[in-house]
Amino acid sequence: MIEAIDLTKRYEDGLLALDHLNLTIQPGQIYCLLGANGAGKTTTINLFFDFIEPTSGAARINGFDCAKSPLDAKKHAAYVSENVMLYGNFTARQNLAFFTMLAGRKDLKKEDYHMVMRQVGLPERSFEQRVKTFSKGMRQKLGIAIAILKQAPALLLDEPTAGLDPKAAAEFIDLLFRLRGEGKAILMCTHDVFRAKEAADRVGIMKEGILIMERTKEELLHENLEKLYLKYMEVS
Amino acid sequence: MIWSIAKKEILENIFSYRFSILTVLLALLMAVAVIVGYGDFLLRLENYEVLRPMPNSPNIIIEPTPMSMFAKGLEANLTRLYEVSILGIEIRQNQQSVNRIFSLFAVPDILFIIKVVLALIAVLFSFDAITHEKEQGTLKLTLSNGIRRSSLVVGKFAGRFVLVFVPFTVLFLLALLTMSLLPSVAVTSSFWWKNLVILLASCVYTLLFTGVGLFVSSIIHRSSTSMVVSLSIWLLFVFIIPNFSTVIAKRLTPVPTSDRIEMETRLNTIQAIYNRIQREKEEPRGMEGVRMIRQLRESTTRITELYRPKMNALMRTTKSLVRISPSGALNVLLTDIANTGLYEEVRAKDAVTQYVERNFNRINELEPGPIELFRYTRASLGEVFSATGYVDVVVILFFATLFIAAAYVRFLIYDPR
Ligand SMILES: Nc1ncnc2c1ncn2[C@@H]1O[C@H](COP(=O)(O)OP(=O)(O)OP(=O)(O)O)[C@@H](O)[C@H]1O
Ligand SMILES: [Mg+2]
Repeated sequence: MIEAIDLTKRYEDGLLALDHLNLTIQPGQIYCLLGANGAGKTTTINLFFDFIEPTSGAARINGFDCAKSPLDAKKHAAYVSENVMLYGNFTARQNLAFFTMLAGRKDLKKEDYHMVMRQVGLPERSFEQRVKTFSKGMRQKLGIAIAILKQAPALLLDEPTAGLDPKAAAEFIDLLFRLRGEGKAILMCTHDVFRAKEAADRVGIMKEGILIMERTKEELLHENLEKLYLKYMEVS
Repeated sequence: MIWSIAKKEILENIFSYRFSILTVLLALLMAVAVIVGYGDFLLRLENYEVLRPMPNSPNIIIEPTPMSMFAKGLEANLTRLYEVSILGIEIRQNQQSVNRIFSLFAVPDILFIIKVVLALIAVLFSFDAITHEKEQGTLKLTLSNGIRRSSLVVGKFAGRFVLVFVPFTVLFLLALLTMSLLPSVAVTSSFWWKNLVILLASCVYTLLFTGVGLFVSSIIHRSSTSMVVSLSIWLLFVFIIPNFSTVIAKRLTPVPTSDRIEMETRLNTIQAIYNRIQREKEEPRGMEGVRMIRQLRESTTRITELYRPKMNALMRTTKSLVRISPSGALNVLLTDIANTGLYEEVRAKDAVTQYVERNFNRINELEPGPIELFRYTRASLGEVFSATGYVDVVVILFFATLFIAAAYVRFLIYDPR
C-alpha cells in the first residue's frame, strides 16, 4: 500500500513544490498521476524514496514511514526513474544481477534474468551486451526489469513509458496489468493521457504541487480525460 | 553487501583505460626506480670498497645501505668520505660532480613513487566514486533499495582502495624480490622488516588519499569540479606544504652556510700560522707545532659547536613543519626507516664526531698508539620508531582517519538527485 498524508515539500529556495498531498493506493490498484512539467510529480516520488525530506506530512509504504524508517519502506518499493541510466560497462544481465543483489535477492540464476528480460521485451541478443550500446527505450525496459525482479509490493514509476515505442508501450501496459493482478500497488507519473486512461484504476491531476482533480476508472468512462486535463490546466 | 558493492566497483573499473594506463605507468616507474636505485647503490658500494676503513688508517666512511634503493634520501651525503686533519673533520666532495650532472634528470626512487604517484593514482581512482554515479543516475536507483548508505560508502571505498593498492603491492613485492636477488645486496632480516613497514605505511597512505578523493566526491556534485578540487589537495599535500615548510623553517632558524664556516675555518688557520710565525722567534721548535694544532682544534671545535645545535634546530623545525602534510610525514618516516633520513644524518655525524674526539691525537700523531677502526651501524627499526617515527605514523593515521570519517559522514547526507 502506498500512502501520502498531508505530504508537503518546500524546497530550500522557498518554492512550495508539493502542498498537502493525500493519496492512498491499495494493493492491486494502479494510480496515474498527471501534471504539467514542474507540477511536483518527481518531487512526490523522491519523497517516497527518501531522496529528499518532507517539510511536513508523511509518505508511507506498507505502513513504514519513508522519512523515519526509510530502509524498511524502500525494501517494499521498486523504482523506475524518468530516464533510466545504468552501468554502461556492464552487460544487461550484470546490471540486473547487481541491482537485484541490492534489492536483497541472491538465489537467482542466469535463466531467471533472461526470463524477466524477455518479459519486458528486450531482444535476446542484447542480454549479454554492454548497456553502453543500448537505446533509451532499451534502457527503460531494463529499468523496468530491475523493478520487477525486486518483487516489491509497491511500484513507483516516473514516466516509465517515455522513450518506449508504441508497441513496447502497449506491452508495458499489459505488464502493469499483470503486476496489478499479482496484488501490487502501483503509482505511475506520466504525461501520456491515453495510457493513463487505459491503465489506471484512478487518475489524479496535479498542478503546482496541488492535487486538483481525481477520477476513478468508472467516472472516466463518461468523460474525456484529455479535455478534462486541458480544462484544468487552463484555469488558474 | 559491502563486499558485493566493492566487487562491483572493482569490476566496473578494472577493464577501464584508467586502470590499465595507470598500472602500466606504475610498473614502468617501479622498473626504472629499481634499475637506477641499484646502479647508484653499486657506485656507492664501489667507492666504499676503495675507501673502507683499514686497521690504522683514519678513513671514516659509512657503508652504503641497500635500503637507499627504496628511499635515497641523504644517502649521497651519508656515504661520503670524512677526512681528519689538524683542522678537524673535512668532508671530501669525491665523485660528486658526476652525480650532480645526473641529478639534473632526477630519477624517482620508490619513496617518490609512493609519495607522489601512488597518492595521485589513489585520488584519480576515487574523486568520481560518488559524483559519477550521481551524474549517470545510478545513485538514485541504488539508493532506492533498502541498503544502508554506510554500507554503500564503505563498499565503494573498499573497492577503489583495492583497485589501487593491490596492483601496487604486487609491483612493490616484485621490486623487493628483484632487489633482494641482485648481487652485492646483503639481505638481512631487518631489510624485510623495514620493507614490510614501508608497505604498511603505503597502505595507510593509499587509504588516506582514497579518503581524500571520496570526501571531495561527497561534497561536490560534478566530477569535473571534484577532480580539480581533489588534485589541488593532492598538490597541496605532496608539493606545496613540504616545499614551503622547508623554506619557512630556514627563515625561522637561520644557520650559517657551509661556505661561511669554511671561510671562518680558513681565517683561523691563517691566524694560527701568523701566531706561529710571531712566536717562532722566542720558543724552541717542536713544542710550538703541538700548541698550534691544539689551538687550531679548539677554535674549529668552537665554530662547529656553535653550528651544530643550530643545524639540529633547523632539522627539528623542518621536520615539524613538514609534518603539517601527511606526505611530508611519509617522506620523513620512510627515509628514516631506510636509514637515509635526517635522523640518520644527525646520528651518523654524532658518531663521526665522537670517533674523531677519541682518536684525534693519534690520527694527527700527537700521541702514539693504534687508531681505532671506524665502525658504524645504522639505526634499527625500533630505534627509529621510538625516536621520531611514531610521530609520523600518528600524523599519517590522523589525516587518514580525518578524511575517511569526513567522507563517511558527508555521504550519509549526500543529495543523490
Ligand atoms: N532541488 C530543487 N530545489 C528547488 N526547486 C526544485 C528542486 N527540484 C525541483 N524543484 C522545483 O519543484 C517543482 C516540481 O518539480 P518536479 O521535478 O517534481 O516536477 P515534475 O512534475 O516531475 O515535472 P516533469 O514533468 O518536468 O518531470 C518545479 O517547479 C521545480 O523547479
Ligand atoms: Mg518529473
